[in-house]
Amino acid sequence: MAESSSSRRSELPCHLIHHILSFLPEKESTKASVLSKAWFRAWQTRPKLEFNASIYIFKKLQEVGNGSHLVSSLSENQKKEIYEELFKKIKKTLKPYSRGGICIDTVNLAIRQIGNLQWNPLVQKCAKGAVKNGVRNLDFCIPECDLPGIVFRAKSLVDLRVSCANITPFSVREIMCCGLKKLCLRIVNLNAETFGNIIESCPLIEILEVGCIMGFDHFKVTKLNNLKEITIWLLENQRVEVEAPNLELLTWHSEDVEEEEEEEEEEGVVRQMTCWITLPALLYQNLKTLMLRNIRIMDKFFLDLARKFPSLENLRVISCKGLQRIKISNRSLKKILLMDNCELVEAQFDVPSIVSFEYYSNSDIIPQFLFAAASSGWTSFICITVWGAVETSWFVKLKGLVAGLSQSEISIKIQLNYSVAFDLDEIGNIATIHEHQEVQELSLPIDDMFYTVPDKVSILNGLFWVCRPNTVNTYWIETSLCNMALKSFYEMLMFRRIQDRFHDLPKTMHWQHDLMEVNVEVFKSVISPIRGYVKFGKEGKKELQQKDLDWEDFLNVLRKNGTYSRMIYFTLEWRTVICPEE
Amino acid sequence: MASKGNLTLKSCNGKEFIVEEKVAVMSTTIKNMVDVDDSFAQGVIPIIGVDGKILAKLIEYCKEHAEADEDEEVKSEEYLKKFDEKFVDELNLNDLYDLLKASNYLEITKLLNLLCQKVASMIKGKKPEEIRRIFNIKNDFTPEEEEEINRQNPWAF
Repeated sequence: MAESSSSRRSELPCHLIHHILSFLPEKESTKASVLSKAWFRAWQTRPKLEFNASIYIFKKLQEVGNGSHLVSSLSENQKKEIYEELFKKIKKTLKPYSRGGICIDTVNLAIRQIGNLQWNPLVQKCAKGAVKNGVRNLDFCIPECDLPGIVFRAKSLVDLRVSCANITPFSVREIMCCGLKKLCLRIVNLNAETFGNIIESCPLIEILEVGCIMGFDHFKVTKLNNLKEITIWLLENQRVEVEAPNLELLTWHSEDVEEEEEEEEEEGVVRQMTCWITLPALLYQNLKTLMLRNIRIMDKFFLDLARKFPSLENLRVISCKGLQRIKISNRSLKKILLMDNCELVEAQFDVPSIVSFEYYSNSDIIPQFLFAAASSGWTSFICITVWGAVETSWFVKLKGLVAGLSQSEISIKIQLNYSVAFDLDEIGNIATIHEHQEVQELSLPIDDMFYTVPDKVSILNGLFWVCRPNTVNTYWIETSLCNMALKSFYEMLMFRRIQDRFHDLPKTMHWQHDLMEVNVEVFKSVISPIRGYVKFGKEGKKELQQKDLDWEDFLNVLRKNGTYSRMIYFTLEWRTVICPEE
Repeated sequence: MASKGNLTLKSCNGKEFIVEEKVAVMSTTIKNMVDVDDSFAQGVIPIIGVDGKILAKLIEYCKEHAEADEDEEVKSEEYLKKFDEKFVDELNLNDLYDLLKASNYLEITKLLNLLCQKVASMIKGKKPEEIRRIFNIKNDFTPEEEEEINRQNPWAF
């Protein structure tokens, strides 16, 4: 190893070059092959091979040069040429391996159906070469092709991913890949018996992903004692039974209802995804993560949570229809995320180990949360976007929701996009909570959408009635609407700078009495202001911290240095008062 | 001699380092030596072909990661990621190559992956001439040979 001259330093042994090439995509690693003879030799026996038909199709389209990027503009002959070039490439690439008995670690093959091309022989060739050279990881995306039987005869196989293929009973006639640890089947055609055969013959599988399998509606995952992670995407009317005693992670989706079908919904045809997972075992001792997405489950699903999953730490429930009133009780749960479960109106939690709770919603229904005494030092994040009109009663409910989280450090993000009305006189009749809730952070996108809300001051009146945030933050990009929005917000917040108008303060602007001080901090921001579920972060360089600026000066600070986006933090200091009974 | 729980590593130019055993056994090679032959654990372990400067770097890396493995709370994943980034960014080319070879010889898998990834990221998006210049690689192809390779995979260039 001791080498002194610097020219010899630059030579790396072949297996190190292999290792480096394995971190590069095919195009880049091919480019590296021309560096020198040593790199070329290493590249010829690289452990990771990628064959992607799209590259050849793209190249052919460029060659033809008729300006079209549509595959349909290729003639049958040209399509055949593409196939032949890729076939030749595969043959040539595999040669040094079979000659030298060199191992191939990974083979990725992705083809594309163009015209009437019959890709099966090419897939066969590629699979054969890979298996004969001891392939460990195989990823075949082969639309409308049959998965070659030789794949399941590969004893060396550790990780197999197959998408868009047919797996016929013939493909699994002989299964010898009994060391398989990861199996992923997506958009695959196979029958229940074939699937059963695969599962039964590969008892060491640790990670299993089955998605959108066509060909049966009921299947079982059993006898996999090593199974740690399972991800299941179900199609309509499919039912799956998972019996894996050592499971640690379960992700359960159903396929999204496609947009066209959503239109149908508007016409009154309600589509319901119906698919089921049965978890027949009484106990999933090791299950730590449970993620449910886009499925229809009943409230009672959660009743069993503590008994069935005594180690559960992470629960994510997203876009699940059918949930209305849930009770979640579990001593091990640390993280809970609820997102877009649009029918949810109430949730009770008995989760003493909770660390973080997140709630995201895109509807105007505001649920109420009730937490039994939990550990101290947990955080909650509420993100609500409303597209419809918002009235006083909405703020009352929001206050109830925030009050339910008062044991935690609360951050909220609110985006109101339509008309907003808030009337303090209505409050007396409907509100049960009058204390101002302390909130750490209020994210309020003050942008063109904010500007279009007619009664902007109602947003602040309402939100500052709900809570007293320590900071209010927003992003800023230089557009005229954004500037106008920010200006109106800034002037509302800085209202008391103009002392003489303070006496005429309308009653609804009650919060002005309590607001003692406003500090502004501006951060150079690299975060793109994406609408939706983004929690703003205080990243980048702090540029300004100042107390007293009028709007024009403030705008000039924002524009300084020409950076085009900023994060603005308003730190608010409130007078501590006992809320007056309205 | 090192006290109990510590090992002494000696570089090829005679520099000795006393390190905790949990740090040293991040290297599979050293772990195997210690496991097989008890005398290594007592005496001095020679690290052949690795000079003092490189060995110090290796130990710096292993120390951070060994401590992180032991206590996730103190050194979070994020902290380690930042440490790794800084670690590879500060290397000059000679050190990068020497560390690559040393981590390969000593079988410090995490570090080897990190370094190979670094080299890969330096290759990405650059033209072959640029890469040769950065890594001081001599082009030993004849123009005809080079053309032939380019011809075979025209989409890559």
